[in-house]
Amino acid sequence: MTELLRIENLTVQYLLNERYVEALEDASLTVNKGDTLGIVGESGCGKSTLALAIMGILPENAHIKSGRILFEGQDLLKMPQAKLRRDIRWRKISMIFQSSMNALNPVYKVGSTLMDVAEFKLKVDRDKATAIVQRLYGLVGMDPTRLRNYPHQYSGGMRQRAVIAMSLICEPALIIADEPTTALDVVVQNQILKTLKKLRDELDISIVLISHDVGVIGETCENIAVMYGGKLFETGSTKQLFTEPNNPYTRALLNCFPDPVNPKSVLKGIPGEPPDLSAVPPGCRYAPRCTYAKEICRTKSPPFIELEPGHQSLCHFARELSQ
Amino acid sequence: MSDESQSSTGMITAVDALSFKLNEGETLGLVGQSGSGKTTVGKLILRLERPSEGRILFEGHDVLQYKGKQLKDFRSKVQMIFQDPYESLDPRLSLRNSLEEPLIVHGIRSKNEQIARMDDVLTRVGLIPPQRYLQLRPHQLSGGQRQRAAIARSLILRPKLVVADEPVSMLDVSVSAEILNLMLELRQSMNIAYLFITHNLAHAGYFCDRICVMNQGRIVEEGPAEKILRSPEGAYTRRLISSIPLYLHK
Amino acid sequence: MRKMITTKTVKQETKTIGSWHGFADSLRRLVHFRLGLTGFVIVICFAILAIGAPYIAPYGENQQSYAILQPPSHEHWLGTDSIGRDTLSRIIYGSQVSMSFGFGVALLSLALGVFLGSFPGYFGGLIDDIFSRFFDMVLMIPSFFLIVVAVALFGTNIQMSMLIVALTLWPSNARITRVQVLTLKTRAYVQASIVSGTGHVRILFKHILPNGISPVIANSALQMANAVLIEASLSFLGLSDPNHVSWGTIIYGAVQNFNAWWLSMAGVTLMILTLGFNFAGDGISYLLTPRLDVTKG
Repeated sequence: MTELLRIENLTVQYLLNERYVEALEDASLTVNKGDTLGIVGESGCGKSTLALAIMGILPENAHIKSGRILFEGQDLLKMPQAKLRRDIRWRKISMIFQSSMNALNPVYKVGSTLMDVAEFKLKVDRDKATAIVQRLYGLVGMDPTRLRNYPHQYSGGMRQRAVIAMSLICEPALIIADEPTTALDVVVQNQILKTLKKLRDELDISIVLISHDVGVIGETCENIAVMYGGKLFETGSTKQLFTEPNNPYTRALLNCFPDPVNPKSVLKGIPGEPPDLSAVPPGCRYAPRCTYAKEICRTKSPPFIELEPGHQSLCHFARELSQ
Repeated sequence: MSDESQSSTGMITAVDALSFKLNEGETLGLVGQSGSGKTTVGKLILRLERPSEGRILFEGHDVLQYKGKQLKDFRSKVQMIFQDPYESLDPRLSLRNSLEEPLIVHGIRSKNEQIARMDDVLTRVGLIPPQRYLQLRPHQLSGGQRQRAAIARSLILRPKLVVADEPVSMLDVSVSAEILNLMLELRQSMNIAYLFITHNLAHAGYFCDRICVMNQGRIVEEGPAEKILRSPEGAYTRRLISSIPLYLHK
Repeated sequence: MRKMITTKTVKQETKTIGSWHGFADSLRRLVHFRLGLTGFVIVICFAILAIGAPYIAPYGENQQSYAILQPPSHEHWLGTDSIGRDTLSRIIYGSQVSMSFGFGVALLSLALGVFLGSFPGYFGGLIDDIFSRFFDMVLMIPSFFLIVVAVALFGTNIQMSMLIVALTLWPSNARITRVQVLTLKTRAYVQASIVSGTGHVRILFKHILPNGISPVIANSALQMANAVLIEASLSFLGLSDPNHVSWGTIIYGAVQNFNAWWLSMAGVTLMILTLGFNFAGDGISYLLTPRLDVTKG
């Protein structure tokens, strides 16, 4: 398995109102070729920051304190913007946002927008570009004749698929999708997720899917990383995390989703609030809300313990909990 | 008590010849995707919009005929919880002011009575100690806390029916589950009937006694919550259910 | 209670448009916006001049002397006019008229505009159509000519002039108010109030107008600038209250006596005050625009 993307000890802070907000601390992840990695977490957990950091599009007040992002062996954080723009963004790595479907210029036909990208990025002529775009539409399950429509004539799901097609023009090795289906209806969401899986199968593209919805991640991804309060709390394969979740936060999180098959089965939330990232308390960030918390959890930061190959959990009592 | 409506509105038919009944203390789910008309139904019941045809019977009387005092009375018995916790409270007012208003409007002017009710309602929704929260303004609260405050406001007049329009859609999942459980608890302790409007069928399955599935302004299927989720009859309902990511529970 | 900062808070802060997070917070932000701050300082300076004129001005408003048409000197920093009155003192006294005209007109225009603009915004439908057409009609009237004619007809009394000018300026406030009311009516907290049985008047005055008044205030600052210019134009044409000195009158003196360039310094103060109101208006707009306080890190 060839390694495609490796994030090492990435720490990102935002400067806000003259305070530093620790959006992401010491994050380390690996994505191999052909992998689908799901990053799951609630608001403020740092998942979007991670995505933006990979693409090099963090906001102005963001400050990368430490860490590396190695893509195909090169550190993206050390790469000059010009090179990132030319070689990496939208070429090797593409990104789809929740609001991408609103990113299509409303005064141009969708086909025109896509063709522009193809001609500019691939430096091909009109005919070749047309062929590429039409093929991609077929790949995402859209009728190529609709290329001559305007964005407002598309439904939300169709627009999102058009954007996915656009992201594939340069045949990227990696697609990052940040909440791509959150604003869409459940039926459409299902179609989009199926499309993404199809892309992975047919084109061997690696996908990093970010969502707050554990079910969405579970359906689409083979590996999962759970984030909370700016840190990675548990990583492992989907099978491992769903059948034997180790970390207390992961366990609690899984209980927050209602079971459609047994609708009246117990649904429990997590009392309390996510941590204040501008004044992070010592110890484990989840300790205030954790049902297993002990004294050490409030004073000492927990280690990232490996339980099985590929399955790691950020907890002082990871091994005890796995029994 | 029953609540029945049959209506269609406007030039675009948002709601088309819709009828349903809700009984006292019951939770009914109105489930549909965007554009199904479910939010419109909620607004019609609260008389925030007028139907072009039909009746809405509350406790046996057609609320569409209500005016003046009758309307005001009705408004103390039927309340609403809105989707966006960041918009449902006036940003310039303290919680105290926001909670006071319904009381003042309905003639409860004694300071003691007001404070008693505000304390009661804030305690019920878990914003404890109430005195502390009364002073705060919405921007000092988290999303979950704001929604609790909005629920408190909806309860302060001791309504019989609360229309909840996507009450947890904009909240984190850990908070959503808490709010749903809170609402169920309140139903027990205050004997409130809920009309739970949502696009999330799984949430409806957990929260509701019965569910009506809506599509394009019509109710396409109706029945007990568990039945709808486990053995749906309609084609549309089946499509909805098969689209829910199930991996978690396989 | 210090607000907790999570990234969601950061995103949500941008949603609260025009919310009042406290006077101290606004002051702090204003200091960052130099232009707005300058505007406010200028306006405050002129207000001080206006209020303190009797104490600040070296000579009386109409104090004549034998030093006719003297250029700037040690005794008269800005020289004298054709009957020996000190220019500097007259400019200082002139600020009284300018400031009161500016504020008075803007206030009247605000009251009228907000009042009349609330109805179409709130009730919509036919009322909206009627009111909007009415606003359009008033806006079509060439305001300056109307003012000149009205002042010529009804007299040069200062209160009268203020009223007439305000009557031509209010429609812009009305339009802004109308849009604000239309938008805010759909906000959940307004709907919640309606659902609680709150009456229209209370909703308008307690929920809608306080939350929507901000752009009207910014507009008012600009209207003050406008009013000051109109007043100066009127007095230049000789249509102002003869009992009070106004900058326009002084400037006219410069026209009559071509070599007395120092009399046109009233034009400089006019320009500074107008700019001051404009910048202050920008400052208000800036304060009310939601933004993250991004400090370059």
